Amino acid sequence: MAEVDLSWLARQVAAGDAQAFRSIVHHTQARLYRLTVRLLGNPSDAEDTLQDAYVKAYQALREERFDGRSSVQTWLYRVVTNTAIDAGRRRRLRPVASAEQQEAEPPQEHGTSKAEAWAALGELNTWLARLSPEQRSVLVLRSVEGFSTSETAAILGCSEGAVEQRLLRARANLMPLKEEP
Amino acid sequence: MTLERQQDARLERLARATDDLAPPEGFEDRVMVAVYRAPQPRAWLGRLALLGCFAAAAGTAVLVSRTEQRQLDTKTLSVLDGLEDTP
Repeated sequence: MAEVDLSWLARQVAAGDAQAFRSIVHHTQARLYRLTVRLLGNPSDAEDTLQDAYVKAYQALREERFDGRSSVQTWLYRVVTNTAIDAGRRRRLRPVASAEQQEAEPPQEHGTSKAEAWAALGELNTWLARLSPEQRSVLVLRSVEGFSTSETAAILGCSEGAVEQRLLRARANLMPLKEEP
Repeated sequence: MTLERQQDARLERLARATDDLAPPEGFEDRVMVAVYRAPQPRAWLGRLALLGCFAAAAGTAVLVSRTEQRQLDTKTLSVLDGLEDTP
């Protein structure tokens, strides 16, 4: 994700170059899609949410609301995570939202993703179903995406202590491991 | 194995197993269509509004300054008239 100079591309976008934003999308979509689908557990919701997050990011860059205090990569993770948390909250408010109904269904057109990966996503989604969107985001960033506590804190815009506390609560709220072989 | 280690082991396994998940073909194009369709940011509009505010403030300052100057001139003339009238 960091092979290209995202800061330079971000400056180009701010100057009005929309094609530079296409390059940002091109170089970041794989990792950000994985994060979003792990956060939401559903490919269709993940695609809509990631698209919304990219539109927000584009508008923020054009309006020069990206202050450069963090790296572009960390900032993009923040935009995507916050958009996914909002989407998760809205979904919890829907009356039909049950863990089974939210389970990952491999979309027809996803030829590049293996069936085992979708099955694993379904397992992850069912296991994390009890967590609030905030707890799920901490657990996914820290223990699935592999970010350090300080990186997770930077993405979530909170202190490292808050990350550790949320992580403890998330672990306590996880479903029992009885079905693990 | 402690519960935390069991959880970590399962999370690691699921992280590896979901590493192959990828966005659908054409997702980049879909995003760019959404970007172009979204209301275009108008940073220049904000700057124009700010410029308008500065212009209005400057105009008001000039007006106030002229009025004050006129009042001062009138007062000075009155004082001078008074002095001339004094024998």
